[in-house]
Amino acid sequence: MKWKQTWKHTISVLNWKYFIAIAILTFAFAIVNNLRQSPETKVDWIGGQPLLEETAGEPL
Amino acid sequence: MKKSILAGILLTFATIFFCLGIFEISFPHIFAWSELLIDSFPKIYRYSIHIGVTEALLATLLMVFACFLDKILSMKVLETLSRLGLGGMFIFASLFKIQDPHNFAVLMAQYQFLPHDLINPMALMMPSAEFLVGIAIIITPFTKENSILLLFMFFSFIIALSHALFHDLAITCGCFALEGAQDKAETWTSLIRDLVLLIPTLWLITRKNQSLIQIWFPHKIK
Repeated sequence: MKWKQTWKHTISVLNWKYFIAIAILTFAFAIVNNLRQSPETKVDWIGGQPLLEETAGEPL
Repeated sequence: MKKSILAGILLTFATIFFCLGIFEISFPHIFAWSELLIDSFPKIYRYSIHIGVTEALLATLLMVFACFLDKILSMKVLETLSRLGLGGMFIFASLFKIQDPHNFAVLMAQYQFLPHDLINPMALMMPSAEFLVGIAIIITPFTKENSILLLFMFFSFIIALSHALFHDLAITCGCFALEGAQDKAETWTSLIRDLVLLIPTLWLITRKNQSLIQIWFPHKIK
């Protein structure tokens, strides 16, 4: 019961604007970081990577 | 007064063990005794809890004793250490990934967990989030918000590692280094470590929003 109250209190006092600010900063940081990479370490924003042969286990 | 001094001594030892534990978790290959332990007790070392987690647990035990002696001082030390430890660990963990997003994206693909097109954006966003939240939990007063973000990240790591173990994928966790295929015991160690680190993260969510300076000097800064 005490835990329930603690969680309710925590949720009610959260600063939601802070989450938005962190999300924007993270996105900006990721864009800048990808721009400053060399062609070998850069990745496209949409897409994935192939599975390595040495990865143990059967591919799903 | 005597109780406070004794609590201070216990907390000093707890701090030493905690710092050693965090460094051991972050850089296991730098510490010579980890090599010695691998040679002497390969099974215990590989399949039991990581030595760094043991040191962190020992530090927690000393903190509990110190808490009985001086609760206010112990809480201050525990909050400071938890924030510095978790923040520092996330910063160090993100550096390798920030430097090489391509290799991290390749590593994420080996988990076979995310849809193919989401791997690259996650490989770019995740290290940035780790780095920023790691810094933020140390320097900003938003303890609750940052702890919730850390909790979400820990949950995502735990789900991904459990998925890898369930499907018998012996891959490296990609927590502190970007390597290829690894021993399955490594994945177990990472999973246990993440589960243990959930405890201080959950505890920090219940703490008051204040900066590290405000913890120690609550009346001087307004």
